[in-house]
Amino acid sequence: MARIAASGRKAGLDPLKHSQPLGAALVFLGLANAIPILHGSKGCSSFANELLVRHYNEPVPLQSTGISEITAVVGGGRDLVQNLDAFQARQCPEIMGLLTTGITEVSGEDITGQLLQYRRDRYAATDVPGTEHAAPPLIVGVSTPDFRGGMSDGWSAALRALVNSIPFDAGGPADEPTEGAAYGATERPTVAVLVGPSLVAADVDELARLIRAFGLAPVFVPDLSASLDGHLASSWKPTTTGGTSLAQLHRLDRAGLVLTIGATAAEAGVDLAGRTGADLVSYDHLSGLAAVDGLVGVLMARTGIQPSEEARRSRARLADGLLDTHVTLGGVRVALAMEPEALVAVGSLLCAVGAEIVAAVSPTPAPVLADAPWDEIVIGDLIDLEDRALEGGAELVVGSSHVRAVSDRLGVSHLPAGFPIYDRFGSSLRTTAGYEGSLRLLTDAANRLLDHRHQQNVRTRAAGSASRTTTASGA
Amino acid sequence: MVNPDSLRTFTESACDRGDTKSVKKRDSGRWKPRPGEVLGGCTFDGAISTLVPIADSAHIVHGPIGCAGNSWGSRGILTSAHDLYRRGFTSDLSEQDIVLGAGRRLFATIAEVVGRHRPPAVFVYETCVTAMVGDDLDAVCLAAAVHTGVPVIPVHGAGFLGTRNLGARIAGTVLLERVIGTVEPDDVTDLDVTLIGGFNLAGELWEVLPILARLGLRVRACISGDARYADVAAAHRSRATMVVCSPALLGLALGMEERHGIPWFEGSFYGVAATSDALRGFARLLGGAELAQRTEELIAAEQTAVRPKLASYRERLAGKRAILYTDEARSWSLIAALADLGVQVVAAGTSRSSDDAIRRIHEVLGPDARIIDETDPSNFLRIADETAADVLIAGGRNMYTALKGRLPFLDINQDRHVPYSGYRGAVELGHQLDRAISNPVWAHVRAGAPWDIAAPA
Repeated sequence: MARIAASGRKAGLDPLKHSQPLGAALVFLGLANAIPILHGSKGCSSFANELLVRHYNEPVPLQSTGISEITAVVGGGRDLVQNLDAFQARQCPEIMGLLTTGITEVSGEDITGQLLQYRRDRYAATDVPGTEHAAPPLIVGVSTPDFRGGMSDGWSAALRALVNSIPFDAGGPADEPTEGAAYGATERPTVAVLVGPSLVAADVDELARLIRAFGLAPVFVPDLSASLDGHLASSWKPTTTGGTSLAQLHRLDRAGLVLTIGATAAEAGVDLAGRTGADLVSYDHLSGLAAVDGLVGVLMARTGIQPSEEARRSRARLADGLLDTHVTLGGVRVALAMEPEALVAVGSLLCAVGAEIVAAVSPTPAPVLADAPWDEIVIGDLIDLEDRALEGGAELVVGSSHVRAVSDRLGVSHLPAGFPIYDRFGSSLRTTAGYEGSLRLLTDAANRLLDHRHQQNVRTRAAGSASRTTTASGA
Repeated sequence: MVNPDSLRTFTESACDRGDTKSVKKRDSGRWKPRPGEVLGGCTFDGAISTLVPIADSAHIVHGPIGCAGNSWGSRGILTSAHDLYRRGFTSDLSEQDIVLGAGRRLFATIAEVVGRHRPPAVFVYETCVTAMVGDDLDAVCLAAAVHTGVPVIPVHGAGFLGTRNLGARIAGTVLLERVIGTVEPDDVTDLDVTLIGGFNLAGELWEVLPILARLGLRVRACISGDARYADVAAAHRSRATMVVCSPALLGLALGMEERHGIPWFEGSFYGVAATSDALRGFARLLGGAELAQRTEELIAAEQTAVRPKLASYRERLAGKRAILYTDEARSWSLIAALADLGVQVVAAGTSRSSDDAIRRIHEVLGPDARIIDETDPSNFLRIADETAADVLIAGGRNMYTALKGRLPFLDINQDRHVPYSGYRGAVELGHQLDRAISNPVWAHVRAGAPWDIAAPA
């Protein structure tokens, strides 16, 4: 429904956009025993690493191939082999994501061919019967030039490359049906759940509980709930400390259903369902009552199982929260700036309680933007958000920590959401999806407004009493 | 494109000379990373980090979104007035720009930024992609300067040239060649001085300024922390320069001496002794028995005031063992500050120490000091284990490695919010170290979960 407008500016001013390699790296950070490797200069990974560390408050095992001026010109093929060998020797990862950058794309590195050659050179021996060899790691190459698309495009490209390159373990044993499941033992309980970048660790946890309550066994890809959720492990590891395991990926062909949650995962869902013949159900987002009800309806129909008591209670709480917060949020003028999927998710939820979206900015175009239930989305930067929020008289600005400076200049309230959040804790709990996650977002938004109004009242009162004192003493 | 500024950076006379370097370091101009171990910032990072503290200027990153998008607005430096340096400006190149040439887009970006913000100057940073595409950055900057009437200064420090340190050196060369000496101040005094380095982390400069002011010294420019473009451009009229923990910018100090006759010295504001030495350094260069006497009086008063406070922390911290891992040359200057507190440094290192810095660490810690050369984070925890260290003192990037290993941590780099410089800073360092090491949280997180503790037989 929304009209997509271009900012028309030929400059990045207070950029909202993040690069493709960053989004792609996040997909690999949601896999277990994995490392994402940026095929570029060392700054490519050190800047990205610093940003991710500040957002998650976690060490992040992001690596780089360290392209130099010379390798950029003469070709980085030999260096790539040495780097891949070294990562395997030092970090022993099960999965490596090799992500190109602006440099390696301009210099024209053919990573598909190089990886093919590398596998042939290193792992041909594993095909020889009787030879002792550790299982080779899964190495996935993804083309993610900085100068095309953005973070969401990188996420989508990495997820697609991953689901298209997983070797399925067709000869392995069939999945056990989950215990106590009424869903027939002959059916396939595994559900492949491909998610987009708007889901945080706590979102994944809630949706996993919801799906499991129907006797199903969801496998989330990627699964940031076990890697970047903020947990203290028993010892330090040079790779990711949790996430979707390689063994789980090998068995994704058992899934009878592929669910995609988040528009950014939609194309990967089509790819995976196409490879395995599973049914495909896709959601742009799962924010708000109607969206989550849609998923619950599908799961009820597929399994013949009634929703759990927990799900019913959560739904009733969200319904109540919608009513409670609409008093505060109804008619409030809101400005938002986020990645496409999160923008539509958060905006839809705020629209559901009657908020008025006066400015919405996405860093990059995406098909999901057209479905937003308001008038217009601008493809632009935070400078566009600021100009339009000012013009539209926004009272609440929603977005990353960078957006906080915008709200400070405008003197309005700020709801932290999206990426990066580097000035407060708890990014992995900043939910947007499911019954509980939607409720948390709504209460956070309403509380932000109430806090802001309270502070303004305090200031007004202070100014008022000061002027009375002045008058009294003057009299 | 070969740029004359970059070439000058390699020929500057304060550079470590090839014949005094170890074989390993000799080829640092032809930088090549070890496979599988590529950490630390790039040349672009070093260049922009050095210049961004010129806070009233616009800093435009000429490249695709990766370079600016992941880094803007994140630096822990503070300024007293302007916030333009916190804004993110980039030409944000698309595929089309790379094929057809990025000059027009850069020109439009400069024009838009100047139109909106009217900065006194614009710095434009080349990145890997724009260096490879081969646009004539200098020509575009010149045209934009003519068009806008504002100095537009190109910085040729593409990331893949090498280390962060090289970027800082290139930035120093740019200041020397294109900025310093372009503004004539009308308020020159005999006690104007310039500070080089420092970055005004957490307002460290503001700890130092009042002390210098009490001696009658005026900091004409701090390169670079809380700096104004016009002050940096007028730095050639200062009477003395102090290089604060920044070997990468020694070339700048030397250049200011060669071109403008300004004497300089190297020092630090970390620790009581270093701060006192720095004040004496200024007194020596500026001359006069009267200044020297005032300086000694001030030092005596400050040291007397700070002694009981330091003693109380020394009591609590004596015998504690620290691992020090910091950017550039802070290591050797912090060791002395830690010694003031009775803290022993059991291992030290930096990701980009010059041989000179390593020599100095050895001078202070003795020949057996353990030098950390590898930057793999797992090494910190291993070395902490082997040396029975009580605390890791390092940059924020390493914080979570320490915390995951249940090792107390003190942040010494960009993200920190507490100044450790000057006399009060030396006490503050003690306070923060004590707080980190003796925090009750360690007892809580080191205790096992109920299911990890064996049940009594």
